Amino acid sequence: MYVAIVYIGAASVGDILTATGWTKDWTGDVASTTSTPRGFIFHREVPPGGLGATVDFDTSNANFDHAAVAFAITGAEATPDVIGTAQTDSSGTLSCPAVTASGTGGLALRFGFIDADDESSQPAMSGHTAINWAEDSNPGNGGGVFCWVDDQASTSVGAATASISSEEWAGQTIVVSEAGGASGASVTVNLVDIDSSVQANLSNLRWDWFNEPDPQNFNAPSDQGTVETTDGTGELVLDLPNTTLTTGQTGFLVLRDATNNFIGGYRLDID
Amino acid sequence: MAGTVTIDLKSRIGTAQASLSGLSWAWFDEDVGSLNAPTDQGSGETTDASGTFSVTTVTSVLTTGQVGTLVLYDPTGPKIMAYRVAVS
Repeated sequence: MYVAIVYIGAASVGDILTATGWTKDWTGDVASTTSTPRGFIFHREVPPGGLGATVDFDTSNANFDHAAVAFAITGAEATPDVIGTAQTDSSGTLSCPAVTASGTGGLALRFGFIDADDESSQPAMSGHTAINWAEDSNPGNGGGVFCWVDDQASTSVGAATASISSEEWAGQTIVVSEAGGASGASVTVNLVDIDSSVQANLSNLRWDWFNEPDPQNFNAPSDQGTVETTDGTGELVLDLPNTTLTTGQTGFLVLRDATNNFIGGYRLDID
Repeated sequence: MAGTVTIDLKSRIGTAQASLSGLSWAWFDEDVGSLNAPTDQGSGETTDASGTFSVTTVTSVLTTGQVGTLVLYDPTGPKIMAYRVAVS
């Protein structure tokens, strides 16, 4: 899930937002002459059972107002592929920066933060779908936050613009890859110990994935890693960008927890 | 380089897995997370009356005392096992 916030106040107060459980992908100021809005972009995975978490404000500073939007992306990687260098200016054309991604097939997310509440609807961005927007009128001339999305067909993601009422603005681009990478495949296993106790929050798990379901036929693993983790329910999800298996086909996972010296194998179907 | 990999197979509650048959296996010279193609692999292996599984590796370059990774699969169980084992 992504949350984008613009707060309107004195940027000199610094990061007055706290976000336990969230990763802050970007923050920056909208170059302004009066109210100096500051934009934030956070993300986090949505845990099993849904998301009840909030992003909290530091209530010790009451001299600001804000507008915030949130949206969730199904089947996306938990970590952004690339985060752009934000653009800022004062004009009627808001511009989000070009970025170079490591892969293709994901989504290009565009964010606009504007030092005004002058838009009567979300401005269009060519090729993009408008996700969500919000404005707030206080203090000064208020502020607004706007989000758009487009398919990411190329590693070269160009700049994108939207026409706005002439104001100060900041534009940002984030690319998120589709879970599973190039193949789109992933496998999921719920780890328990010999007493069926959930193995939550294990870290630095080492693993290898074989496209063959029987060890006597193993070739080299198609995918492997050394830094995976289980979530709070013991669930482990592995993206397999190089596997040739498709949904429902069976492969073989070898897994080792170097910290606790657990080791195991699993025959798993592709999700 | 020929070597021997031996391990005593037990159930989760410590019972020796005697006289298993039809075991398929793969041996790797590397640790999990960095495995290459197995150096040695096979099928139709058994455990003895004590639950001991032993195979000879032919292509492995590990020498006595060095540790590799053994993956076992018993299709009749089905059981899947993996171990870090030193060559003997």
